[in-house]
Amino acid sequence: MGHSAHPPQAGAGPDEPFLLARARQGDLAAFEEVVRRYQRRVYGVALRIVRAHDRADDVAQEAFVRAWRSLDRFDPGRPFGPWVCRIAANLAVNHVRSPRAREQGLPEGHAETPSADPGPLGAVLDAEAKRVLDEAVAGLGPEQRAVFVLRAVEEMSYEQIAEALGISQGTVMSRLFRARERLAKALSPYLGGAATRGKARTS
Amino acid sequence: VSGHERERLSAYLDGELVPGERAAVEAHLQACPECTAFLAELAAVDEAASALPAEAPAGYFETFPARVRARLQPRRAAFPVRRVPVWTWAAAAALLLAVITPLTWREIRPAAHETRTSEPPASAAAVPKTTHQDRQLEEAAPAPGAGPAPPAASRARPSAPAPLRRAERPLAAPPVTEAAPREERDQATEGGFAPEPSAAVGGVVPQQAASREKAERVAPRSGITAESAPPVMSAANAGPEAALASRQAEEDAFRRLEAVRPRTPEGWRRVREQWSALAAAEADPVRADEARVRAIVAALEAWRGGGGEGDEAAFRAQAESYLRRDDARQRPRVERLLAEATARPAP
Repeated sequence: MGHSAHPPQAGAGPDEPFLLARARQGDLAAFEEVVRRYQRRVYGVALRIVRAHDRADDVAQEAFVRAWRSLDRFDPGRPFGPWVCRIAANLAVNHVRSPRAREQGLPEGHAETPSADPGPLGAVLDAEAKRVLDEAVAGLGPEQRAVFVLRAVEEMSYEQIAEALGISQGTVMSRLFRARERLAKALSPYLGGAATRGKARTS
Repeated sequence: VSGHERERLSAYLDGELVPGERAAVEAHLQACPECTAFLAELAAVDEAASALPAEAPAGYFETFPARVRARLQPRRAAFPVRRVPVWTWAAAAALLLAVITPLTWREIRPAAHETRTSEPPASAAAVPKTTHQDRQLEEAAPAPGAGPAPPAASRARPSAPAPLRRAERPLAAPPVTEAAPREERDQATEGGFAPEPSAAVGGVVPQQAASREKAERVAPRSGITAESAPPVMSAANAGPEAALASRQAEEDAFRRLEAVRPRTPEGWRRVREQWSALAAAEADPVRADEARVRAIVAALEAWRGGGGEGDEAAFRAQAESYLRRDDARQRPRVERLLAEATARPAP
């Protein structure tokens, strides 16, 4: 699922530990290469939470800037991707919560273009189902959405999500469940047999 | 099925239940097609949502890394090698003038000195920044509140590699504030290189020192004029292009090393060794002196940055050995480093 969507891009130039070690020493060129490798993933997390390109751009840039500043606190033995995505998610939630963002209101889902690789289920979901799901995701509160994105897309553990968003693991569990429940409800007409049985069960 | 139990199904999907709970859920799933279907539905939602496109406008990712880097690029110079570009242009102008008006030159020079030394600090501080062609956005970290103008942040040398540096961490070295004799200052200028308050990055450069240095050494305010040119002449006489090229190479070495901002004591130890090596290899006494002080600062950084007693000892030994030198040009600066290093600062 999620992880297959962002391959580590191995074999494309110097390996990650090397680049990160250089970056830790202040090598901006090395860090730029790290940014190049993770930009789509970080932008994806940001966009899924903030729901608008310009805001996702702000968040993604800021996430890398913060990552750079915190590199000395980053354990080089651990993967960089989840770490920078956590930073991005946290920034994204705060961004959506900010008074300015509230003023602007949440946009109605971002502009969509067909995904190049929609995945196995995406292939059977028609455009209408995607639109419905996208709207349902947009309809989640930012906190719910952030938890859901970090789990469903980034496949983070509850512990990682809790740390990223500054909430307890219990809160992660309940928010995630409520998010999934709402999305499942919205999506149920498109989910065939599973949905039918789900409806019978919902009481 | 209660909401709580369905919440547990959600957590089960994520592998976040403790073994006992997991076994209970699995036992229940065996007997309950409803919950099995719900679980499938939750999984489908995750999968569908992660398949939703999150695409950026065309070309966005082509420029994104450079834009991030631009935000990390420092705006201000911490060290006079950054001003080399100004000097380089001044040198070019000097060569031009030397060719065109060799005779009038010496008549200009004394007047130029007058101009330089009487330059009021305020106007010196107003040296316009020239932009770096590459990237000049500064990191979000704001300039120090007391902010005197950045020390001549001109980085206009076209062929120069983008300076790599971190702008967050103040260096330990306090600025030089003692007044040097004019001869020495001129020497420093000739080298394109002189003691500089390294606290310029992230720290506060005392107005007096910063502006004095600028007034003395840095760019003319209205184009290239003779006042900055005379010191270059000796190098130019020896063979203009060759002298410039070798000087340029030396400055690049200094500049590269100066831009290294390690995050670890090990890194600072290496930097210390490199400065020491540069100092040993440097023929110009002013530059060698600066390299020695830089090595001391690096030793201090290694200690401050979490190094052990060995780093402290290395720092003290290096500083004391420097102070014993007859040709030490920056005693006050190094003495201050020693005095301020009585205890490891809070990290």
